[in-house]
Amino acid sequence: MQKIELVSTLDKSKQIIDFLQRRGVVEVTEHELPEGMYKFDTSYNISQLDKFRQTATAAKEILNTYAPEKVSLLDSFLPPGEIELSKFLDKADDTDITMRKCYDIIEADREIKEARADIIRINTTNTSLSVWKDLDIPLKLKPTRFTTVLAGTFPEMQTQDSIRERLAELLPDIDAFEVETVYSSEMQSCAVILCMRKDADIINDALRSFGFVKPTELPDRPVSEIIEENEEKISALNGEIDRQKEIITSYADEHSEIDFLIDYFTLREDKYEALKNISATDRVFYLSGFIPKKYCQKTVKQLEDKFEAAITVSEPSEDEEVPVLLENNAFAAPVEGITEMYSLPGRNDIDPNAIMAFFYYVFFGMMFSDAGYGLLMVIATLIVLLKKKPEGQKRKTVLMYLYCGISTMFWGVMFGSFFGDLINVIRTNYFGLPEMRLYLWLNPQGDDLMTTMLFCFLFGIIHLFVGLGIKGYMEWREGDKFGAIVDTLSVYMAVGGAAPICAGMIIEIPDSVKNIAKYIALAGVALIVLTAGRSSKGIFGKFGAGLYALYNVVSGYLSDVLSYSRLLALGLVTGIIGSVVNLMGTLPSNMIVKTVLFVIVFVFGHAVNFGINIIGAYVHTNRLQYVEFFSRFYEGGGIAFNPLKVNSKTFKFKEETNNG
Amino acid sequence: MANYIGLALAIAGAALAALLSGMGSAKGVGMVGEAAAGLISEDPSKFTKVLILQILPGTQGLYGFITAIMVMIKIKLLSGAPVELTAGQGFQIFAACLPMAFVGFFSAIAQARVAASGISVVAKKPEQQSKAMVLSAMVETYAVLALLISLLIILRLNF
Repeated sequence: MQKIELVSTLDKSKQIIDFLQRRGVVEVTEHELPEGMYKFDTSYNISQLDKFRQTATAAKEILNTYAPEKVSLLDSFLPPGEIELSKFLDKADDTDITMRKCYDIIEADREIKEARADIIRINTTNTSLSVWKDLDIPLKLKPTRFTTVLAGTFPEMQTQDSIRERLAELLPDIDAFEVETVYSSEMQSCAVILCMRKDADIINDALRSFGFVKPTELPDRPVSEIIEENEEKISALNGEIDRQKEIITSYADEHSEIDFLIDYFTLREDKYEALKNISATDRVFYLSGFIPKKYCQKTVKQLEDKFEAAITVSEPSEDEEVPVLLENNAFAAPVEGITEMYSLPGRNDIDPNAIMAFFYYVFFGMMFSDAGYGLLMVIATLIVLLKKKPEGQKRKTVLMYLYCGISTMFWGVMFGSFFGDLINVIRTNYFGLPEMRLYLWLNPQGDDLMTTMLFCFLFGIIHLFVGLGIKGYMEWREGDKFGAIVDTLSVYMAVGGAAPICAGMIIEIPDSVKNIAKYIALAGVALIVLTAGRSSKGIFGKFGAGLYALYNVVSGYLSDVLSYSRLLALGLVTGIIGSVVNLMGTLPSNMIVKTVLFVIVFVFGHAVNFGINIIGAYVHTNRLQYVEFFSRFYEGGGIAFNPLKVNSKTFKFKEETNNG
Repeated sequence: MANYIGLALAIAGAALAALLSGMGSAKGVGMVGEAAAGLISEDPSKFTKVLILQILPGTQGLYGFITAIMVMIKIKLLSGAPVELTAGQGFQIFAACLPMAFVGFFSAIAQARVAASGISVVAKKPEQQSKAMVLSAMVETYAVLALLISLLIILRLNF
């Protein structure tokens, strides 16, 4: 990574930023404001663009709800289409039109939401009114000269008779009234009482003594009429909703236009974010940033040719926070994402991907370990790679699964699994042939179980030793040559010597080997005790720290090596479930039933087994890298290189910068 | 009579492995599912991401199932003519199933807790989903180890 500084005339500033954005190789960073210069205040533009972008995004989401864009899984790997600069500028002129469509969509969505809220409100009114729907007179009825109507509810079950009885009890003198219940349930009863005007107050008080309440709203029309009218309103609102939905769906073809709009605003927002970081006088401007070494020469030349600019490129100073760009070959680059997920390399780290990639593919393959599944992975990834030609991170991910698939095939052949024991199942069930040996190297499901486990531990030890070796290399590079040698060598000897002795508990190891191993291990242990505490003070301090380091090595390496037994366990799981699926499919003895069942069980069972175990293999391979491998040497904490670039999902500029 | 006790013990072991691991996984997958449904109601587009988290505590049930199947293959129960086992041999198989049965049950639930918390990671930072997966997979290590022990014993028993 190199530091780049550029000075040019102010009127060129936008063009230069545009150019840098299209090249996408320079991260424009903040710098201390030189004396006599000022910064652009672009926050207004940024917030404005941000608002537009959010509007477009909101419109896109609404459009996706009502008229979803149909993207097949395969097409999602397609790289963004190329666009020429002139065409881009033409399209950029039309953003107003698309923006208006976005507003239309949002407006229609607002109308729909309002209509829906109205419907809910009307429905609530109708529900509360519905208890009165059997009443054929308005609730609010004008009194006649002598009579009046009291309408209201009781909070419990009441019948005509019960109300009449209560009234008779409370008001024995009054008998000129008529009661009618229009609704009655456990929770609520509605009643209408016709009485003389002069008695109305007394009767009302009496009724209230047992819970009578007048409705808050007294419409002057029969309730059933109101309900009917409300229902008409609802259907009108529903019609309105349908109409607005049609408006939205009429924009179903605008998905790509809106996507372009979002990308366009993002692009301009990024540009203004970069402009915020440059300093200027009335005539010139100054920008600083980082550029990867490999793009340096070409970009500088292009800048100098195109614009009148003074450029200096220098090594970043020690105390500067330099962003990290991972650069690896086609074999290692696919696992960069896995490392990034953990942490980018810090200042003193080396890029672990090249070494990690090999182990990653091998371990993934051992855990998935079925030649049939590996073959499916290879076919699927090759189809995507050749048909859709994905780019960037997507391509890396697909490549990673391609390599993992090849490794899975390899280990499937080694351990004898092709869709479980499919080959033998077909041989015995359909051809009456005896079972054959399927594995090329070891049979973990049979006699070689313990041997396979030991090999898993061996691979684990190699993995850990490589990690430790990198730690040693880093110490060496920093000048601690003595430490680099003793720290790695002592552990190599102790663990490497102990390994054959431990393995001897399970398989036959010649005594002569065990004897030599014993002395190597003891020498390693002695070396650890004597040297690991060298930074402590005093002879006892050094010795104590050495013992403590020994304890750490023993417990740490023991548990870490045993952790690699998952290579065997997950491999077994894939193979055994695959075989069980085959077994279940072939249980019936009738040939036709068997075949039909077998096909169904085979497809379904292996699909499930594939899905579950590919997740398992992925997750546990990551774990082995993160917990066992990275903890040996890796510090992490780097910041990703984030160049000013065309951050677009839908288009990329046709490379015109090569010739001009 | 003694033969039947041996066979019964072996079957009980297989049943226990499938039973407890299955129960643990069912509870675990259910717990994560509930948390996931909450997120889906807000943002349906995260379905695939949370689905993977939901599957994670389901593997214990699968491991228990494998243990049970391996016992059934070992005692030739699937072929319909089970081998004759002494009570001692039956108990050996029974004991072999215990690590998977118990560790399967408890690790599935513990793993589900981590995965359910992982759902909120997906809610707030969907790009960090893999980290939530790795956290949850840490718990599964012990189920893998238990499975390995159960399988090793079953496969290495000689009769």
